[in-house]
Amino acid sequence: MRERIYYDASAENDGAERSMVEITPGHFVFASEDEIQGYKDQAAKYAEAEQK
Amino acid sequence: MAEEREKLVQVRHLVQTFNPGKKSEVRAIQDVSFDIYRGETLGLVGESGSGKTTTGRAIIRLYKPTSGEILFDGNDIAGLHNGSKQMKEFRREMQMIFQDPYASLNPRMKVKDIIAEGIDIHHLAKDDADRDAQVANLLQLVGLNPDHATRYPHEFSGGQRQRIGIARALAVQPQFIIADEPISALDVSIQAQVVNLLKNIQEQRNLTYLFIAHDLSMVKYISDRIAVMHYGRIVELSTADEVYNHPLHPYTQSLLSAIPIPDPEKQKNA
Ligand SMILES: Nc1ncnc2c1ncn2[C@@H]1O[C@H](COP(=O)(O)OP(=O)(O)O)[C@@H](O)[C@H]1O
Ligand SMILES: [Mg+2]
Repeated sequence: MRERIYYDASAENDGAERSMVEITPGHFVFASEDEIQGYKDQAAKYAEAEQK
Repeated sequence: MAEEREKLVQVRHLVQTFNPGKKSEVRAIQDVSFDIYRGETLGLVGESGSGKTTTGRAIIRLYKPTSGEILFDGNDIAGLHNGSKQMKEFRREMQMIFQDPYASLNPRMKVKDIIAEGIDIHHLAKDDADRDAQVANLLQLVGLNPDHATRYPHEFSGGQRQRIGIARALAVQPQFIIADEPISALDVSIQAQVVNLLKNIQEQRNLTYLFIAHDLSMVKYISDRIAVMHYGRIVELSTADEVYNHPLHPYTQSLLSAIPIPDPEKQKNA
């Protein structure tokens, strides 16, 4: 069974500007400057997992 | 590949605020931008209240957008006035299928008159015989018996009513259809049939869909790409497979974790 993940939307109230950023080709995420690297790292992890 | 495809609908910085300046102000859509390619299905998902219906109604110009651009086939339609000739022409190109097949069909009208409403408005039938023939074809297309054209909505089940709603939308030969949670009110056993019908018709008529749902599992099967909406914003947008298998935004991950039945494909890969 999967566990329900709860999303805390208050994270978005940090005053940072967000826009749609293309993390991998054709995959856009609403992100601030500070969040981009985290999403890129996560995308890389997905890619790595698929390689195995 | 997607980059080379033709954009049928382009939404640019769309903002829709209800009751602006009043105490009851609601910022239903806050700066949303996305494209829909000709022939594709874009799924729009998000929890209740996230702004999905408002997005659909703004695109089809049931609302006048507070700001932003909506381009259909390259023409900006955000500024069109109700009643204008361009608006009437454009209304024929875009049709909506509604969530509630009980509330969206006039109970006092015969099925054939419900379906032919757009045919009449746009003068698409030569005469009564042509009108009847078009209605019969449409009923057949959506899997209903053409002999039932003279019946009333209450004589049909929920799934059949939704087929009538689909026939009504197709009657004016639109290019683009917004389906606003078209299966949410239906029995689970019937949902797949209606989705398959929409898919088949899309192939036959080269239609473009915006398919709205509150549940990712519902849109995954029919969508080429999926946009995830949250509090009036799109937080993630990619191919259906990417959004489903490689979600990046925490809100998308939360939506996915709420799907109770594990995806068989995911299990295979695990
Ligand atoms: N006509 C309206 N007037 C005022 N507020 C509205 C109107 N329509 C929708 N809203 C509000 O806008 C927000 C988005 O609603 P809606 O687009 O219906 O969401 P969804 O379809 O995702 O459930 C909600 O807070 C809703 O209450
Ligand atoms: Mg809705």
